[in-house]
Amino acid sequence: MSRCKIAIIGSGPAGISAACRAAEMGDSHVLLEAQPHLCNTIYRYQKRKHVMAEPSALPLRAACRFEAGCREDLLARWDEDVHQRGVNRRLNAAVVAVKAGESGFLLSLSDGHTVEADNVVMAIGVQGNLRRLGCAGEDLDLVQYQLDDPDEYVDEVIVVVGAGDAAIENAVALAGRNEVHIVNRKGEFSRSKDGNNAAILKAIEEGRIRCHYHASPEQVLASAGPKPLQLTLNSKDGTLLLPCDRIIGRLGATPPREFLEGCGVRFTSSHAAALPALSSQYESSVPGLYVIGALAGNPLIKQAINQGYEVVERIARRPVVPADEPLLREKLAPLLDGRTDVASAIEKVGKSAAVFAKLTALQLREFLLESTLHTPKAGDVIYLAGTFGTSMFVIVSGEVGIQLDETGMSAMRTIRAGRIFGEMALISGRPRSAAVMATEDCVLVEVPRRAMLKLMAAEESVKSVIDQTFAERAIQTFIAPEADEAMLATVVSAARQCVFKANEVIFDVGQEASDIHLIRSGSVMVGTAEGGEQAVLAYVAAGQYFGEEDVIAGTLRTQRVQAAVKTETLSIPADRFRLLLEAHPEIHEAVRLRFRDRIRQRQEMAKSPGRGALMHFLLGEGLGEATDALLIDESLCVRCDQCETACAATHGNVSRLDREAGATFEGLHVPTSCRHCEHPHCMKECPPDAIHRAPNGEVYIDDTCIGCGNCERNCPYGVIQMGVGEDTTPSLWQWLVLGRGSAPGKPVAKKANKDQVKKAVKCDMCRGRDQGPACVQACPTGAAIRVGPEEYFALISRGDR
Amino acid sequence: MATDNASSSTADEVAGHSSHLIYRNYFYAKVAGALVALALLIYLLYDPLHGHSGSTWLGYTLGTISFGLMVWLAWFGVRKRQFQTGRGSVRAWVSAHVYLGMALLVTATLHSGFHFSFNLHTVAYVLLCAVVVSGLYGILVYSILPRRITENRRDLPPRAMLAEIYRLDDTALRLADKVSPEIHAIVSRSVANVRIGGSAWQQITGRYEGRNDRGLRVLAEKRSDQLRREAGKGKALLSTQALDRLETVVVMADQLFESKQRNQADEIKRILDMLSQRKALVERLNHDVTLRARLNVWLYLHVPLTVGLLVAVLAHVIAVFYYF
Repeated sequence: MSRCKIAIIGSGPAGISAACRAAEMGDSHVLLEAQPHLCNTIYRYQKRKHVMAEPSALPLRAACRFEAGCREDLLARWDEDVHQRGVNRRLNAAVVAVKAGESGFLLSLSDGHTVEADNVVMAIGVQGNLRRLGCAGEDLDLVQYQLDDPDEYVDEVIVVVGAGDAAIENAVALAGRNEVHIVNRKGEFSRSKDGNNAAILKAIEEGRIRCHYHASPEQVLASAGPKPLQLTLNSKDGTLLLPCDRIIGRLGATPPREFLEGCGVRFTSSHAAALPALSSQYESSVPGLYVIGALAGNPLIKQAINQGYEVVERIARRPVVPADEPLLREKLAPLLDGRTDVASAIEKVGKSAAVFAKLTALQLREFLLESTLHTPKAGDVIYLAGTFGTSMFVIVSGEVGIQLDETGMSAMRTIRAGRIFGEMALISGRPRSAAVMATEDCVLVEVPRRAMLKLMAAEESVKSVIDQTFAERAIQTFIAPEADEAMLATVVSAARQCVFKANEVIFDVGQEASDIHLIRSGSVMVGTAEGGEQAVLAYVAAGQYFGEEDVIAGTLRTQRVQAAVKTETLSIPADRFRLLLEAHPEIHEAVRLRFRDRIRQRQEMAKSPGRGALMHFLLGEGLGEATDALLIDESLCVRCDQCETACAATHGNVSRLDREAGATFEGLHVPTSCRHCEHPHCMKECPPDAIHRAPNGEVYIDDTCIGCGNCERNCPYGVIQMGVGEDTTPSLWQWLVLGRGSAPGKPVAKKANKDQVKKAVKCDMCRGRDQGPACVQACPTGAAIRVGPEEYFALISRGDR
Repeated sequence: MATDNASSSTADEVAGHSSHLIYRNYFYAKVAGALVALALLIYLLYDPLHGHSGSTWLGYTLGTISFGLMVWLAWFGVRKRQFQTGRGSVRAWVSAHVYLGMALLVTATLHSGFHFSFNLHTVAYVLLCAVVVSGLYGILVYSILPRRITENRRDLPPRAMLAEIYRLDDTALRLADKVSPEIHAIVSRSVANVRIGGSAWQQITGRYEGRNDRGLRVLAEKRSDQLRREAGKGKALLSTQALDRLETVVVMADQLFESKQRNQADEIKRILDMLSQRKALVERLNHDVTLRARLNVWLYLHVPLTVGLLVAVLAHVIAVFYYF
């Protein structure tokens, strides 16, 4: 039994930093690590993986070293630092329980020992504890729960237990050189990603992997026979004995949340992505128990290291200012004066708007770190209609006006302090629907999309405020601009949010016309299904509504509407809509004109059914999501690949375009090139937030990319490549005349430099290039064209190609 | 949306989306046409003392124009590769190149005054004709073949076709393994005998070695013999010619169903199906190779001959002035 001031659980970057600081300052401490080595998560990175030190703007403040480098160097440096500082570390010391008592905490370790501490710092990360097989023999030597290098094993009989992504990927990787069995508890692989699902089913069908459905392991015995292990499987066909060389369990991990809650820590909500409720000192709901690092919601290493330092300072009651303080001071400068310091400025912002009401001080701090404060004067334009923006604004003080009428200032709807605006771009991904300007001097907080989405996922209250605001505004803007508050309220209260998967039928011909839909995000295809053939007659994008024709006419549905991509709508019941129409005859007129347009459009499209099928194809290829895409007319394309060469030559000799890949329909080819989607899939999980959208709609990746590959995996169109860009342009004349050097567009370096990080690259629409996209300029026959979906559909309905 | 930029070509791309020949409503065709018309007119109206030749003022004018055109046309090879610094779209350049190239033939011919004999000057002229003719072939195939390539591919790019061929090979071998060693050997041989692509002549003519047929035939023969021996039903031995045709093999597969080894029959039928699928794919892939070869072969003449032409013309100009 030993007692110390600070017990640090977990030796990742956060834990190491905390331990080093405590050691440096002489605070009694112990660093507890479950594995036989430090920093398990980074230890398990693949060999020579490059680790970056983002965000570069944040200063490092720690008693241990950290800079960008490869995995091996990082681990070596930390081992050295821990040793040099004299950190009191204990390996193979997994903590199974933490009990808070009157005089501190009692930590129980897996080997039966206990540790007493005044304070506990949880730095265990989010990788969790890997689940075991759950049967006798789960700890035998050749039963493992991790696969580092599938090429290591050759000609073995390997049994993979599990049906998730990790199990499938391991099984498929091993199947090339081994006899692989996969044990699935259920009758299908429902939990895996589409790509993995297809791969495993194909492998089973081709006989490369044997699958045992509805089976689970009963026991594992070491055997003296030809194979070292014998696995007994329980399946619906009875018991099966399987001699094998190795068993790999990929059964997921128990999230650390259970462990933390078992220690008494409260989380902010029951949402899966919720974080522990922490004070701005990282203290949890259990006094003396602190949570830092990835578990507190900070996946970046530098932040974790800073927190390790800070938390030890706080426990030791040494005055410390958070590492982000200077950054926040700069950001919040307009709000600071003699009386207000950073902390109170943050508090003031937190109290100013309903959307911030339930956030903790720590959440607010981080949120503001990623936002920008603006102080426009009365009359300043905040943004123009038609530009692409992905940020949302919160009005801390002052007032803004939305310009409803394009011609002048006469029609302007004002929004007061405490509310938000710009939320439509956030949700629908469409260009700004109206211009906004300040009508008084204001203080605004501009929040980038990613920070907002993260917050919405973690905090229910934030999401509901934004959804509510969106519903009101959208109905007001697109359906009933003149409606008063009371009328609006009755419609909004009856509105329901609906989600549809790609290609899901929203309503079909002959069904009752019970509601109209306002599209929040995504897009739909309106058409008929005559004789089994899909004929798309119209395409409706986010921010517009559909389904009103039959509601007004009082008939059953005359058209079928299908979601082109994953779509969210607000459905408004028919009776409310009719009420709205009666109260506002001008809406009636607007709807009548639309109705006429739709009928006309339908006639046009019906004239040549081929066009409808073509539109269906294009929407299926994700053109419905795109704000801009490259299309190739195959009747003109001579397959010269000039487009690819041009792309490479203008982008560091790495082409972002793969002309040949991609689908073709009726001679129109959609190569793998970025669609610049309304809701970029690539943006979803970018740790350094390196992917942004420019005001003219382009989605681009900036220099802070760390090469993690999340975007490449998330993109459903396969347009992102990992490559090493080069700065040197080969000399054209030397190559042309003397044959020296490489051809334009081809990489200059003969062999890839192993230490160079492969960063994510994709089409950036040749931003900043005067002549526009290089691929289009270089195409000798004019086969390559870049269009946005509306332009193209307009062209199709007009009959040009 | 497509970025707005100074050059009108992008607006063209979206609105008009026209090919290089139609570009800007045949603008360069009109320019070339005007040039040719003017040259012809003057040629017909002007009647020099000793007849038309390169040394009349018209001859010199046309000669200079032709030389200028030639250099500019050859420059296209450089422009095409100037991805960063090039001005104007390549499509515009191609359009100009095509029509002005045709005009060049006329101006050069008129410049010569139809004086041909066995000398350097005529060599230059012949080279010019060869270049222009190869270019005409190029325009022709560029108009016709792209569509054919698309039709042949039927939405399977060549890489996918090749991947599918490998997959079929793999699966067929695995199945054959389960049937018998001889079948495996036959399928193995069939897999090894596949030929995709070939020599330049083979690519252009489209006639590839069809050795992959043999595997099927041998397989069919063997099974037929085996059947006869085991079943002893006295079915007529299928003639070798009939075996050459795929349909017969399928019929034979049907016969296998009647034999006692039901399981094997299923498997063999599957193998046969796969092999015929594969054969079809190989043919399609080879056809793709052929079409693309035909699409590109002319450049192997057009470009080297241009270099030769430039040298010859330079020599021609020097000779003419030296021996002035």
